[in-house]
Amino acid sequence: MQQYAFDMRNISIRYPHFAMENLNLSLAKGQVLGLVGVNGAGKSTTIRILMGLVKADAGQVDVLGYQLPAQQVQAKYDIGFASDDMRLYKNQTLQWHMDFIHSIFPNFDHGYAKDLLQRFELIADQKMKGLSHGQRVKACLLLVLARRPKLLVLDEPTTGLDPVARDEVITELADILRDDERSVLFSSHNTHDIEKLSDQIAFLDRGKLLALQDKESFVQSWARFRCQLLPQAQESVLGAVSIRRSGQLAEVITDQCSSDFAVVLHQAGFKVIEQHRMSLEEIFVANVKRNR
Amino acid sequence: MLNALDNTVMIKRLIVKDWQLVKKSLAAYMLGGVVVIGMMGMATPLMFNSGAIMMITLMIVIGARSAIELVVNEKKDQTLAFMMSLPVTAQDYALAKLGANLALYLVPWLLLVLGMLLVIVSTPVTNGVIPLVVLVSVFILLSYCCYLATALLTYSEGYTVTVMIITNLLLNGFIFWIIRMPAVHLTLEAPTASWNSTTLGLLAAGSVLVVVVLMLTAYLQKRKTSFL
Amino acid sequence: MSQGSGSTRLFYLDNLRALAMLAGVLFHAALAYSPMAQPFWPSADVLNHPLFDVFAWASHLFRMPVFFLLAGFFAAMLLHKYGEAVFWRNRLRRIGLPLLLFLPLLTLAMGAVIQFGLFHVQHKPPFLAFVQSMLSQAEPAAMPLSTMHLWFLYHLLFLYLLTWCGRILLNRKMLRWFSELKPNALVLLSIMACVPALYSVSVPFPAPEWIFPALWALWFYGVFFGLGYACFSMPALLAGFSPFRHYYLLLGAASYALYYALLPITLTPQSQPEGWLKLAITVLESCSAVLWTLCALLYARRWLDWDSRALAYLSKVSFWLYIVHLPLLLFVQFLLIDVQMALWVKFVISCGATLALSLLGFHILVAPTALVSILAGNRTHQA
Repeated sequence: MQQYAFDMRNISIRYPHFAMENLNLSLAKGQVLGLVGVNGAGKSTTIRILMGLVKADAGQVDVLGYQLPAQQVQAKYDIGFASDDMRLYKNQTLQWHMDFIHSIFPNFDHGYAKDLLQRFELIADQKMKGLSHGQRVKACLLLVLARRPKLLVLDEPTTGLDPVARDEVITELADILRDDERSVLFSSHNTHDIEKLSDQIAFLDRGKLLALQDKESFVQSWARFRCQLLPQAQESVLGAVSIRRSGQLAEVITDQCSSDFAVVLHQAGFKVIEQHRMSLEEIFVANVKRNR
Repeated sequence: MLNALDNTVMIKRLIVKDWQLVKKSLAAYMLGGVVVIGMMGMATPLMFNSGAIMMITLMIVIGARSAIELVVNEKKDQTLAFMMSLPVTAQDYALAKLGANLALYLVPWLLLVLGMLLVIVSTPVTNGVIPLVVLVSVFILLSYCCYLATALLTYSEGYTVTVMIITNLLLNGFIFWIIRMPAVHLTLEAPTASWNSTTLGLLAAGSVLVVVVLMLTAYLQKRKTSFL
Repeated sequence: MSQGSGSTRLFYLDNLRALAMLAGVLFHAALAYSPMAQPFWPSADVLNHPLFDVFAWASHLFRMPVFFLLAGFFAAMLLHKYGEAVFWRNRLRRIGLPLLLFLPLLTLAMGAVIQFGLFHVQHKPPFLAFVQSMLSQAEPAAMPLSTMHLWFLYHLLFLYLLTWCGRILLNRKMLRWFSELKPNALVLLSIMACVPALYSVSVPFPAPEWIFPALWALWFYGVFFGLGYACFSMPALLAGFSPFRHYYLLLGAASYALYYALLPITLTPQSQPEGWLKLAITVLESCSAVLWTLCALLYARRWLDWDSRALAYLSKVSFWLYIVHLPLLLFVQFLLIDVQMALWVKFVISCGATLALSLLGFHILVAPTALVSILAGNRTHQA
């Protein structure tokens, strides 16, 4: 039987300018799932439903064996949540926050927290208002990670960081995630970050789940072909996501890339000149365009 | 498995956290309170009157500051997400906020009201003003409950400040209104506090309204489906 | 209050507290025979002598400030050793509870003693005569609510509250500024700080007995409380003051001599000095108060830091003595007013009898009961 860190079934929710219909999303234990979507795609809504902060109009949410939002209190003891718009109390020090978290989570690991302080180059006695955005994000991550939660939910943790800080956070996170066996849901509109950290990737757009696959499958199944158009070239090709023509040339994107696809193309009147692997960003964009 | 009792523990932790956050402001109010009561205790008309005005101001400031500092700023400063990541439901959180605010406001409010009554009882100020002072204090408490409810239900600075302004304007009207009541102004100079059916009715109505506003807040909070 | 190894017993603080308590009984006893206090002291005798004034007003200047200084010292020590929660529990039990318990009892006792005086004293002191005339009116005015001599406990509670405020509100920069002051600069600052508070009240400064916290008293005694707090927090401070103690004593004495010379002959509201004269008196009053209070602590540190059984006993009973001595003293002095006896004998008898009755009360009512844990203080240790 598959052990899920979380399992969302047929989730629907409606807001005046946003709707999510029948979303199904789950994460196996020990996996890192990257949730990619543009702003307003529904990433934060999904995460809020997952945290029990928003009650879906329909559907079932199961997190670490708890039904949400009814059992959110119990579930949250094992979920660590951090988001880009999360702030700590500006007039209090990081040490105060660590003590506060420790008072709630008795298994808060002070040794690990100390280690993270060093890794993130943070000072425990510094007040929050004196920290940069990058330091604040690191402080939030420290508080969450030192609890050693079974499920880690990170909502756009790298948004708004300068490139150096982002690289530092991602590098540390990658390091930390390798260290620990924990399930992670990581949302971002930045595909590079997702690519570095995730085992599985989900694309979300306008409240719909466009795709959910492991990273390797995405990279292997998606490809871009530069072709010369033969006189008998057909209008469409089976397995092509998009075909962009320009004079005698065409660019074909597929999500069913295999050695046979070149043959399929040729039979359809497309002579392959070049075949390219696609970056996750390109795959994401192609995916979104196909579904809009 | 956790039971409901554990959540009481969390609610208490949140209240203690709020106490730690406003300790500094509270210390300043306490300092102000001691000075104001000391001023009123000097028992000269000038000191008594300016002390009374400062006392009313202090009561309003404490209420306004605690509602803004503890509720509205939590959303504005984006610490609400941090709080909601902890093992609490939105209802637990709102209950903790209600508890923390009431405790942090009621204690200084009670101290100030008792201090003021003590001044009246032990100075040449006629005890006839006691009903007026009590009614005004209860009105201030009711106003506080109203904008605390607004803050808790909307987390909006705009709405909360609007309710604050309205209730403060109403306070002036209220004082003017009850002073003109024969049941109040005829007994102002009396040597003893004379409660009659009008003043007692107003006191009862004020107290009931305080309870109704608080219970309604808790009820509406429970019905909310979306938080953050 | 012992904690850990290497903690040293601060005998001199306990001994000083015990002696200051004893001085309190002598001061109140002396007021009955003081010419200046004739108009207002309830048990003012028909006989009086200016020497009692010299003694009474001199001790008045530093006796209560010494208590507040010690209270500040102990407050800092308690907070340092045990933290805030224990501090508040301890202070409410040792200060708040006795206040709540004894204020009503003392009010009743004092009322009874005054009644006794009204009925039995033939040569009525002006105060008793005044009370009698008030009572004989058709609508006697209500007596003002008073904390009596327990005002010390009452104001101390407010000072603890202000200490809490100060610990939260004062930042390190401000505290560093204070801690970097030279000892004599700190003395001068303390004297100057006392002047506005004392200027706002009559001379010699009265007891803030009214049910309200008196701002001047919180300010004036707060200076000494703060000094005591600083003495604990900065252990080098006392050593810094120490070499100057003889100068402080002499300067305090010179100030007092001038102060005493400038005091009005009787202490009625009409005879109070005003303007520059009042300011001069207040400055001298502040000088003596600060310098002598410090002297008391410095000389005690030098000469009283030993384990005396007599002083240990006196220290143990001092809180109880402080609480009950006043009604007992007034009662004894009412009995003595109409007795033909030399002034000094009356003074000695009233002091002796008050002490004897108080101690008897201690052994009957306090020592065998739960009250002993509240009223009989532990000895002081320095970590």
